[in-house]
Amino acid sequence: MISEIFGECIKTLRSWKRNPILIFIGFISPLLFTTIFIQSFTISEDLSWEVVVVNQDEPIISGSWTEKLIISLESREGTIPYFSVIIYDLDAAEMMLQNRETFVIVIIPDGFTYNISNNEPIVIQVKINNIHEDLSKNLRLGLEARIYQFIQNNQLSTGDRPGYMIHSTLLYTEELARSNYMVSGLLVFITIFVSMLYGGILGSEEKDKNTWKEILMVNNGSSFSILGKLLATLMITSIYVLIILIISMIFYNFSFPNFESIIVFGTISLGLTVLFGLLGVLYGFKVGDFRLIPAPTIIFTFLMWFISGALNPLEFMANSEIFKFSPTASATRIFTATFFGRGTQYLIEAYGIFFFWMILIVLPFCIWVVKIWKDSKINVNRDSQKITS
Amino acid sequence: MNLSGILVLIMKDMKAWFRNPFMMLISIIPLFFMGFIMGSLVTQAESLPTGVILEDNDPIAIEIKNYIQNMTSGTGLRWFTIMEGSNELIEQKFYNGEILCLIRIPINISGIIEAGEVVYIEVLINNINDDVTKNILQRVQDVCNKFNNNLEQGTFIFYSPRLIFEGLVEPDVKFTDYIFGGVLAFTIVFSSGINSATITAHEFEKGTMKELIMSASPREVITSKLLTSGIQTVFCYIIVNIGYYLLFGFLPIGNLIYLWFWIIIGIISFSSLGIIVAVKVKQVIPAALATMIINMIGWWIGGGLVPAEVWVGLIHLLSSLLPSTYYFRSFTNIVFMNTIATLSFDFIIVISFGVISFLIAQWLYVKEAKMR
Repeated sequence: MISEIFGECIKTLRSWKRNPILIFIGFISPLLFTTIFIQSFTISEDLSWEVVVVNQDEPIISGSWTEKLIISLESREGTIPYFSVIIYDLDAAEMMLQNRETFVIVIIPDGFTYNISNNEPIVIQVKINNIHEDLSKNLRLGLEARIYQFIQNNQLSTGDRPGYMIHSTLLYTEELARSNYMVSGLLVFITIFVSMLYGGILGSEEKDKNTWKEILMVNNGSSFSILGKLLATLMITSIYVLIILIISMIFYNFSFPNFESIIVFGTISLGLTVLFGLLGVLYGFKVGDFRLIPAPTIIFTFLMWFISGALNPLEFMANSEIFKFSPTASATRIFTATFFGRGTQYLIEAYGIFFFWMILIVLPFCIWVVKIWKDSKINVNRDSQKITS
Repeated sequence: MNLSGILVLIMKDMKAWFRNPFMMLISIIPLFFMGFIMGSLVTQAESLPTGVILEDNDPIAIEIKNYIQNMTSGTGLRWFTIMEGSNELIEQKFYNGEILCLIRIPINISGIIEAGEVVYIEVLINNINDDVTKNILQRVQDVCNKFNNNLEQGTFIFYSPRLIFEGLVEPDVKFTDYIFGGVLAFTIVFSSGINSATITAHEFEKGTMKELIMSASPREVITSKLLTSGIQTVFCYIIVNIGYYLLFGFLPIGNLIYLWFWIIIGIISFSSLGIIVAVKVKQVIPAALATMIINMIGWWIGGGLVPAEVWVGLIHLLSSLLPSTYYFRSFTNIVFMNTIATLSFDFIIVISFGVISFLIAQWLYVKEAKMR
């Protein structure tokens, strides 16, 4: 049995090696996605948006209230987004907003200085492009944060008046950048993408090349073929994951904090590869058409990654907590806790869910493998008895 | 150009497409799946699971708690999901990771305000990453801004600047709707590229390229491939749009004439890219994959997920170089704001890309034809 499986595996690996385009695409697509993804979030850590200010009040001179407001708007203290101010007249600013050359206009009203000096109500009108909920959320909250800073620095800290301020305490002493947080999700994505893609491609190979009949002619041929292809998928995935890890270490300063984390990473990756590789191989066997593999695989793995708390903790995403029961979400949580020490509260639950999936899928698979092994042993005995007789 | 020849080629490709329902479904299902999962399950803005602990029953503290409970985003989603329970239970939930933020309002805040002092609202943050921290801090700062304005101390009222937001549309466009609009625009860019790539690479893969070269001129072949891809793309677009309408009630609100004009411009401009890839790669799956990857990157940074103007630095530079950015911009303008403010500029960029890529596709095809 072992020799049949290895034979199938080596045959599959050879055919994979002969197709450089597939090798390239399997490697380049996750690399491109992840690079662009990490890049886009690395940039956002120092996010600075241009805000167009229309000043209808007194000219901005040193020490004036308008200057103090601009200083607060441009401040680099506190949370992102940061803003850089450009001054325009109202017509030009509105034109820019319509043409999507800017997405926010802050109008400092006439009488701003007078009102603030004389404790009168002050309303600052802000025009925003709100065609995207998340963007307008960040704009609204980002500008509110600047106003908070303005009030804090110019009204509350001076002791002139009472008011409300925040005293914040963090659970973890060091902040973890979101782009670093996302590394765990990306590792999960690469593992499931490569294993499912190649599992599917290798699985569909026999029917695609019309060699399926020969496989069926061998006793337990289809089972050996599945096992051989799964083994080949495991090997290919390991190579890719290793390459991506090396790239992450060189370009994104990723490192394993300790030896234990390497073991955890290896075990969970292996589990994911078996799970998704098996899914891929079985799907490939079923459809038997090479053309029907990549598109569903890309979309499926991309979405699995997206719904697994890869961008932010699931608790943070409205109505998304249900996804914590997916194997990818639990793997992401395990990686985050192991690599960065974050979300350790979820660790036990995540291990529980992950191993539940393993038992659910891999255990019946192992039972099936043992059955094949027994069958093949019986067949060998029968054959040898025939030869003897 | 022989029009009847082109028509024959189109019919041939269309028949092949309809004969293979899997290939047809494969152009539609991913788009459905994408919109369905991302739109309906994942992409809602974050609502923070929070616990508020009141140290006493001070009326202002209760007012603050109520305000926190009812704060909403521009689309009406609550900023905070407040967990109820005893103070001990809330603390326990915070340390178990069930809630990410714990707001503790101190004792006797009315008295502190009356005494002319500052009230410090204590905020405990589960800073699992810096984005969570940012969101918690900013939302509580918003609460402070609200209560710092119109603050009464005895008979005296203190004022501080208050922001009044005015959006281009009312209310904010939901993230889900933006995703649907983005996926519809993506349907044009993605389907036109992928369809032209697969039907062209198919000729190479099945070895029918020689017959094709002998039967029609390169321009006729390329035009027929582009038109076939265009018809298939319109088909995909209509199906996806109907699906989104039936499942989620999403319908583009913009002027239909502008919308269809822009759809056709998109099909014309982005189909040739698939042919270029197919002529170079010559295999259906790698060509389709390569086109898909190029288009997905274009969707991601070109404005399909978030408006492209939010990017800064390298990604901003990349997005400004991509024609899809300009396509997505006018598409979302028409769909969400019913405006064509940027259409003329975007049209020049997109159509220039289309013409250049058509000429490159033709040149590559002729080169390939000569080699055979």
